[in-house]
Amino acid sequence: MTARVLKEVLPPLGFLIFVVLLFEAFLRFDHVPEYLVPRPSSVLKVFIEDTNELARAFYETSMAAGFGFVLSFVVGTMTAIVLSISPLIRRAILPYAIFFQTVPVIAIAPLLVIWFGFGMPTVIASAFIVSIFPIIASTLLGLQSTDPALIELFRLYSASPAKLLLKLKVPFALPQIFSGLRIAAGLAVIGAIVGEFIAGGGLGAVVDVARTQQRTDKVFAAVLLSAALGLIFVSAVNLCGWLALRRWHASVQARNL
Amino acid sequence: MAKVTLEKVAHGFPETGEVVSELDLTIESGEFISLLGPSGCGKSTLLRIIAGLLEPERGKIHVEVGDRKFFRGFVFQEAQLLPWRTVLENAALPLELIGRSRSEARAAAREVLAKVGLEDSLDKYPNQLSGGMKMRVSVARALVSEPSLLLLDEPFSALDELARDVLQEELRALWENLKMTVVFVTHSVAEAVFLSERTIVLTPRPARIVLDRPIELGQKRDASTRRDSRYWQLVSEVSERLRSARGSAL
Repeated sequence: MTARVLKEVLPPLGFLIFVVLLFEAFLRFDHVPEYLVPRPSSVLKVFIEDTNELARAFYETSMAAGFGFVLSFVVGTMTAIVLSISPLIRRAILPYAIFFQTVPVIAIAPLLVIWFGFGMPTVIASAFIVSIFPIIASTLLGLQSTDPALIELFRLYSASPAKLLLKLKVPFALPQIFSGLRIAAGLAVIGAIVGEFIAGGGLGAVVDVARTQQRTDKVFAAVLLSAALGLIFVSAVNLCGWLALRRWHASVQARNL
Repeated sequence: MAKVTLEKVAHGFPETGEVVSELDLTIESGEFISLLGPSGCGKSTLLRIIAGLLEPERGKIHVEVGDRKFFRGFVFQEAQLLPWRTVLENAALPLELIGRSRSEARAAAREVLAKVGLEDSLDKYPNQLSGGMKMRVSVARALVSEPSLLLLDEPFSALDELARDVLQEELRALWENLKMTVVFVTHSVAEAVFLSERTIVLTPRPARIVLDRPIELGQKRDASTRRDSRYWQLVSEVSERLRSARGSAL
C-alpha cells in the first residue's frame, strides 16, 4: 500500500519540485523583473505573510461557488426531470436554454451587479448561471437514454410514473448526471471568480486588487488557490460519484484496478 | 392459468409496414406453445401484443383467467437486469412495482431464486454474473409475481449451447411444476420442439401461421429427449416447413 502510494505520488511531486527550482534559478539568473514573473520563493512568501487575507478570500469563494453549485444542481436536476417528462415543454424551452448557454457570463456580470448588488448574491448567481447548463444537458440525456426494454418491464407491472422515475430513470442516468456535475463543479468555481472580479470579495477580488498594485506574486498566489479550489470541488464530486456507482458501474470499476 | 384468444389481429409500424396480418390463434390454458419463425418475422411484435405491451391496430385479443389476480411475466432477449440492484433486489422488483412491501417482495424473491438455483448469489450484482446466471435471474424476476401467463422472447439466443440446453431443461421443469401458460418465441427449431406442447410456424412479415403442430414427446422431458428419434423426426419436419415458409416469401 505505502509502496504503491510512493510510486504514484513521488514522480509528480519530484517533477513539481524540479520545475519550481528550475524557475527560481532561471528567474534569478536572468534578472527577470518581479512584476513580470514572480519567483516561486516570493509567491511562497505571500502565502506566509498574507495567510489570513488569502484564507478569508478562499473561504468566501468556496462558499459562493458551493452555494451556486448546489443551487444549480437542485434547479438543474428538477428542470431536466420536467423536460424529460414533457416533450412539449422540452421542444418549447430547450432551444432557448441552448441559446442562453452561449451568453458569456462575463458579459452579463455587470447586469447581475445591478440586480443583486455588490457582494455574495451576485457571485452566487454568476456561479449558478455557468454551472447549471451542463447539469441540465447531461441529466436530460441520461434520463432520455433509458433502455426501452426496461421501460416495457416497468409498464408490464403498471408502475406509477413516480416509480418509473425513481426506480429506473434516475438510477439509470446516474453515470451521466455525475459527468455533468463534474463539469459543473469546475465551472462553478470559474463563475464565482468571474463574479468576484465585478462584484468584489473572495479570490477574484484579491487577483483584481493585486493586479492594480502590480503585485504579480499575490496574483499568482490567488490563482494557485483558485486552481486548488476547483480541484477540491471536482474531487468532491468524483468521490460522491465513486460512492454511488462503485458497486455496479463499469467506468468506476475500471478505475479501481 | 390463462387462455389467450387472438381474433384477426393485425399490426404494423410506419417503417416496416404490416408485420402481423389477420392472425387467429387460441392458446389453451396451461399450454406451452412456441412461436417459431425467421428473424424479424413479427413474432416479437405478436408476443408484445399478447403481453399487453402493444395495442393491436385491428382485431381482438382476449385473455381468460381464473379468479386469481392476473399477472404476466416477460423474459426479454437479453437479461435486462437493473445493474444497480443485487440479484435479490432484481428478482424482487416486480412485487415492489405492484405495491407489495419490501420484506414481502424479498421473501418471495428468495424463494423463486432458490427454484432457479441462485440461492448462493443473492447479494451479487449483475456485472459479477455469467450470461446464463443473468438469464436465470431474469426468469426468476418474471416468475416472482406468480404469473398465470409467462412470455419469453428468444431468451436463450445469446447463451452458449451448454448453458442453453440446461436452461431449456430447467424452464420445462418449472412449467411442469408451476402450472402456467407459456408462450415462447424462438428462431431455433430444436428449441421449440424440445420445449413445447405445440409449435406454431410463422411466415416472415407479415406473420401468418403456416404450421400448427402438436409436439407429442410426453410430459417429462430432459437431456435424453434430445436423443429420441421422434424428437429428431419432429425437428426435421418442422424445419422443412420453416424453410418452405421462408422460401415463399423471399
